[in-house]
Amino acid sequence: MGRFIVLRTLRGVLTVWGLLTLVFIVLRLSGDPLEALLGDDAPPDVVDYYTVLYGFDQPIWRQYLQYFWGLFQGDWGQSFRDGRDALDVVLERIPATLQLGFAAFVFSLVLGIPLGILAALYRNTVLDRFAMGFAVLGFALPNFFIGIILILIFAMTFRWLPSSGTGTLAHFLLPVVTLGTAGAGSIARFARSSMLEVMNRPYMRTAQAKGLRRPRRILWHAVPNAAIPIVTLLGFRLGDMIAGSVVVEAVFAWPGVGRLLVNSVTARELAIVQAIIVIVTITMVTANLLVDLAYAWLDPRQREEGHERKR
Amino acid sequence: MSENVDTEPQGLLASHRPSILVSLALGILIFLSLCGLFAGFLAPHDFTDQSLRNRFQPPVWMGGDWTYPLGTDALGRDILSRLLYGLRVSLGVALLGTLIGAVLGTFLGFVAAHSKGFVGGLIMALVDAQAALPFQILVLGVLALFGNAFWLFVALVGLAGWETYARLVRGAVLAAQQEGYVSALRALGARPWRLYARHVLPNVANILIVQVTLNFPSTILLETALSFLGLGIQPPLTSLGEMLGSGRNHLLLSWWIAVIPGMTIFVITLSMSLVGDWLRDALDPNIDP
Amino acid sequence: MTDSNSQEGGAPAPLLHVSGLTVTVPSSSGRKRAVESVSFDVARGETLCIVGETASGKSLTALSILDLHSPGVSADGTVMLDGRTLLGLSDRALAEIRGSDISMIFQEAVPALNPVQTVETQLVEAIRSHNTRSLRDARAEALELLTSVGIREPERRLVAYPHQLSGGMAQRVMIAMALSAKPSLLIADEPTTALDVTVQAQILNLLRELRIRHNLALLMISHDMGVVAEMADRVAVMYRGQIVEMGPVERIFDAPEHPYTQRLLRARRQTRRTHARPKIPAPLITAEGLTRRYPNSRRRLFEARTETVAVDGVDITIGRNEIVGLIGESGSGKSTIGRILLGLEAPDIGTVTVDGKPMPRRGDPHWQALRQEFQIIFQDPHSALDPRARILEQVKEPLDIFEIGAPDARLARAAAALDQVGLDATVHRKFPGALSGGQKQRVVIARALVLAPRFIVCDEPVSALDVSVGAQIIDLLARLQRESEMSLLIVSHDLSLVRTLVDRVMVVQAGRVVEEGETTELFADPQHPYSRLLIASAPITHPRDRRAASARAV
Repeated sequence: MGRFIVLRTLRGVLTVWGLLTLVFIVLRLSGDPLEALLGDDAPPDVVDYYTVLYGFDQPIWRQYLQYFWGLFQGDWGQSFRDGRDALDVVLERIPATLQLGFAAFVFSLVLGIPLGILAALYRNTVLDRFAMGFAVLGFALPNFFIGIILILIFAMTFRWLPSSGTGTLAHFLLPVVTLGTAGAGSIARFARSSMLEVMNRPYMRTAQAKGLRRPRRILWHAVPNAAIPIVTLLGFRLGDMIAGSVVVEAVFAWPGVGRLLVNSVTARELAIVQAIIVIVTITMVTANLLVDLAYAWLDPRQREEGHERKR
Repeated sequence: MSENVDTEPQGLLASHRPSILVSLALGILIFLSLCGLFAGFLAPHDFTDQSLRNRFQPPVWMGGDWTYPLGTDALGRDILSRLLYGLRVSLGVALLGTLIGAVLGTFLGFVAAHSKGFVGGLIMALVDAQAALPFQILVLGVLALFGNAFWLFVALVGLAGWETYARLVRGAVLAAQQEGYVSALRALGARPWRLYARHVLPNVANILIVQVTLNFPSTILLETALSFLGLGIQPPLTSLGEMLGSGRNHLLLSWWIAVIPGMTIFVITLSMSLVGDWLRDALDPNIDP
Repeated sequence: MTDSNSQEGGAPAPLLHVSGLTVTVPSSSGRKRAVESVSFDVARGETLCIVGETASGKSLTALSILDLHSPGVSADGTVMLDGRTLLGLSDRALAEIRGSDISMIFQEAVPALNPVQTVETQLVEAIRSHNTRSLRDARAEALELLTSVGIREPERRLVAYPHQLSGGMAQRVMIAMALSAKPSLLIADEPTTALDVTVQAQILNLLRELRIRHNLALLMISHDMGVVAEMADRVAVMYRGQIVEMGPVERIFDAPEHPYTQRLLRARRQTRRTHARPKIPAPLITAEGLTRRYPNSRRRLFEARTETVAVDGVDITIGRNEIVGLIGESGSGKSTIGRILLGLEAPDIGTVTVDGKPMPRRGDPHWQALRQEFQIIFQDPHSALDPRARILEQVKEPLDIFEIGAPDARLARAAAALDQVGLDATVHRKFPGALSGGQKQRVVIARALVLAPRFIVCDEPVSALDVSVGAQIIDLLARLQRESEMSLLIVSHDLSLVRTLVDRVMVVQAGRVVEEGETTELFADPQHPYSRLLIASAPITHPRDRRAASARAV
């Protein structure tokens, strides 16, 4: 097991390195970055100044090493507008985004998994139809539209909840529902299909032939096996969640990384955009590592050293 | 164990009649596509015409008059005309994007399955990298670097889905290579292109068709979300997302400016999802959602 | 103690009484009756075998007793255990009986075990679900149970997960679990079908032994008359959802009444075919010192690569117009030898010559030409045909590949090949889905035949087919070989197939040929211990050989 963790971590580090290299290539090699930054009518002495400052006069391999050395030391470039360290600008926004994302993630799990399992157990009943209807709606409703509808109803018409900002628990309700609904829908749908798949497996018939009652068969034999594919889905959901938070933060004026990203793209704050992409990458790679570990923990077939069968 | 004696592969669609709901969804999709296609012909006004005297006109059912059937926005532009042009742009971008993704992904999927060496490894590494990073974030990075241009935007939207196709196609081709009929033809010395074109492609075509219909709503959502944020389709051009984005500042006074395009997006993605689910069940009952 | 006469005369009430059992399954046109008014009794300590082929309804019958059907399948009729009605009870009431009075084991044992739980967890659960036991006592009992079903190193197996077990071992675990609450009836649904012959013999021996030890009644489902001959006191023959014949095992084997039973038995007792084979045939293919290794897939980045030796120093000659058999169990390397002789795979060491010239390598124009002359027929006819292409097109395709003849002449040749294998024009425009397994295998043979090959490797040609259908395919292969003068290599684990069809046999074990000889001689007097074990493990053909066989197998 220890070996497994070390190797998966190593693979994660490799992925981060590959993606950072890709970012470097895109940033440095596709077109003249200074032209993109300064515009094509910048005076030559300004161009020269920035050329030296960013090391663009160096050979490419040195730029590459400097880039990594800089990242390693926490020097992720500066904001154009106020000269602050890009990393600091991003880091101070992270707590707000984490709070929102975590709450929405929990919301979609707590709603989606039971709904999917119940839909599978009561297949073709009203409950199943309702759950699948919810899943389809959750997918088809764009999150920015959900947000706007919720604001219209709860903030503007009834004036029960605030439509923007942070601070109290009430501020969380609308953004969390907006961000979590699509996830809950797709988790419910996936949980349903993995449950249905597992219920048809031969070992479920064995459990029945053993004389186990239905509740035990479901909780001890079906759910643990159905959990394995669901865990992999959660890794993917995180990516969707991050993408969704960009929109949701814009709708609810939530002071998180997503809104910073939108503003930075508009203002073409390249250093900040780059810092956000790198942090998102590391988050995603870490999340996938955790998913792999959870996978191995849930499924003994995954932790084998060699997979040959013993006769 | 049991043998299907009565099913021809072609007969599957016929045995899966679309339900009323699916028929309705198909009808709506056709109707909206026609609206978008003939936007220039149907629109009562120029969609960019501003009229400051007629700002925030309500739609007819809220007491507005028939000059502006769906009312006007903050600049006094006719919402109906903008909706028609927005449909054209959103559906067009999504269609183009889906096709780019499907063609590129399918091709790379075949290549990855065929060459297991460096090229195949590289393609799969790209697939993994794309799956490891939310694509919307990457798009924002590229837009920050290069600025926004229509065709760049379309290309980016197209790149969003390619990895799913590549993974699906590669998996299907590898699975097909395990099939007896492919081994049998290989043993006969049949060349790879013959196998792919005559035996593998027809057998993965269903998966591809289903994936296109399932991918289309995601593409619409990507375009509208970015346009909503003001980072996608730029004025004076409009799209459903852009309309919604500019309407959200006037929710309190004139909610219809945002809700009308929002509902339209919702109806499109919902209809497409219903059609996609139906197609999937009809064409291949064995695929998991 | 287990004599079959105890139920005759109808004196004591039967342990299990089934009457008027009807099972309906959902089908494309509403519902279909898959089992129709089936009635039978099983007495205490008796073994009843229900024998039948694919889709005969035998498994559905077995599942009905404990109502283990998938959703949508429904059973009607009477099922009684010791006078208590079972069919129609609630899941809760049935749970008391399942695994306690009646247990069941299945065809594939590994997937029948929960993959995320250890053997111990699953055994303990079975023990504790019907008896109050402390966890510690249940664990001790689990260990005992494993020992009693003949598992070596039971402590190690207790902590194993199902995927770490071989098929035979998993089946032993299933049996241990089934016997944990000392049932009076064990239902075994094709318990040995997925296993190699030697393992099958062991499991059958175990079942026989446990039956006597626990005075267990056994209801066994099988498609294999050999297994029936080994195990049954009485036999019920099922055909298309009905029991067409039932009686004591000797009577069924000696004087079968129903034509279907007669056909089943005839399929097993095939006489050896002889054909005019030159005493010392001129060699077509000669191979010397073949060795083939496969690197094991590396699951870890820095793991040292290990190798599996699939073929290990094999010499083999295929004569012109000769039928050679390669027998061995799964994983013995016999299929790899077949692929090397075809030139589809190159040996790591060793030489192959065709007509005295070295086997061309892949990519060589001669290699391409050889594809016309050497053909292969795979085990599974269901996957061997493209589901989306019409039959005639598929048989014609080899001619397209080699561009033989004018396009319309090709169609005629394909039709002729289909005719040769006994399929008429009605199949030409069909898709494979509309054909039965036997018909598909005929199409596969026709596709190989259309190029008029000199050599065909048949890799387990009948093992995916029902017995009576398999017998027809064997007849067909023998006839075609006679008619068209070609060499055949039959790769199989099925001794009866090899025995009836081939001239010369090679016994393969772990990549080596351990014995080789003329078929009749080798079967009459095997020399190598492994050949003897294989032949002794093969199911007997008649119940009267039973005692002798079990004495040999021990």
